[in-house]
Amino acid sequence: MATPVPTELVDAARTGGRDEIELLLRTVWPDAYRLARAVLGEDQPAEDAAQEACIVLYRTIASLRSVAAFRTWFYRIVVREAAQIKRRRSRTEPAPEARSRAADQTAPIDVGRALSGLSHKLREVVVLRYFEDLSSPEIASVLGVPEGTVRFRLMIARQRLRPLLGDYNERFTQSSGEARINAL
Amino acid sequence: MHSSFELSCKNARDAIAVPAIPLDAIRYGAHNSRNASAGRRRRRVVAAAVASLSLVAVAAAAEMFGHVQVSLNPSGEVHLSFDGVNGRLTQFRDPKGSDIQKAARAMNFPVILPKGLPAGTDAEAVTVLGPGAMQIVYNLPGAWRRSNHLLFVILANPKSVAPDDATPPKSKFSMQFGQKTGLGAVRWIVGGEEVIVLKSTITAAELAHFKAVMTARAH
Repeated sequence: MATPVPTELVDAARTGGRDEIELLLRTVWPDAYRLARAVLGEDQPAEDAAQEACIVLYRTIASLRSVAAFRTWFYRIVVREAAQIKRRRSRTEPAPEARSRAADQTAPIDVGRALSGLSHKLREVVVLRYFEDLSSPEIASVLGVPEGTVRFRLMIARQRLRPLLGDYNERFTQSSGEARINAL
Repeated sequence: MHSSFELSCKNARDAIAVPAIPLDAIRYGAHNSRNASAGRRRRRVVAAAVASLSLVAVAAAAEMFGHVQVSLNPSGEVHLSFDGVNGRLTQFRDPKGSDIQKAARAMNFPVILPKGLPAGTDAEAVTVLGPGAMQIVYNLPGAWRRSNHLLFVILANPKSVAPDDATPPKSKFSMQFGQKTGLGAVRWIVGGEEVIVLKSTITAAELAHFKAVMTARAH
């Protein structure tokens, strides 16, 4: 569960100076890192993504219109930076699949191993839903996609995770859009 | 649903060890960026970590084409020699497109400007070394490159580039690049221009793309 960020802290950072912003950064850094780490599955890229997101926060917090929207606003930045790093690495580095599998074999987190079998898009929704406890509308806002797309991706992700986890009996209805599954 | 899965996720999240916040790097990144709307980060300095630049006065001027000679030695250093400063060594920091065009117009060969660099790359400086060569220094994007984010690209008249085994000419002024990185340089010819790129954190794939796009522009 994400650490609650007091609205006074966000408001102070939005209207205040360097000290207020840095206090906010210290508060949100763990959440930013954990989100990026869960989405990317590796430490160093996650730190890069969280750092880039904090730089964006530092520069643009003054333009945040609604303090109440801070959480989804900041998560959107983290997810976007993580996606950029993921894209860049997949373009420039060989065999990400093999690397993540090797890394995950030594990881203490079974869920991490299960997530590594998902595509980036599916992984994003699972992490935002089950790691960060966001609702479907909130996830839709973070990812900038329709709510239906979020629900569809969650359903596909659950289907893909089911054989890997194997310890729950939830029944999922088969989607009529089966053909779209492979596109995700 | 699957309360065990939800619980596993919560546990997995809590099990992630969070490193210390790199506040200095964040401050540096935030303060060295362009305005927020541009959304592009400008990182300067640290050039010394990648390449050192020295102006060295030596004895006598030697013959060179276009007042400049570019030499590459086997250890990966690039040596730029030129025979004068006034009117020839001109540098623009944070150059606009028009500054780069102006530098290109001062060359004595048909300049094909770099294209195909990684998205987010921006120019840090452009230097006119003489009508025979110009150099553009780029900031490569991405925090993962950390302290080695600069890319040095030299565009030269092929006649101003010395053969591989040649020693740098004795000249009044010279600059050396690449002795710190030891990564070497790659060179190729497009049209009537020789492109020399000092290797840095630019990856093989990025370099291949850069070369392919520039080569395509020449045809």
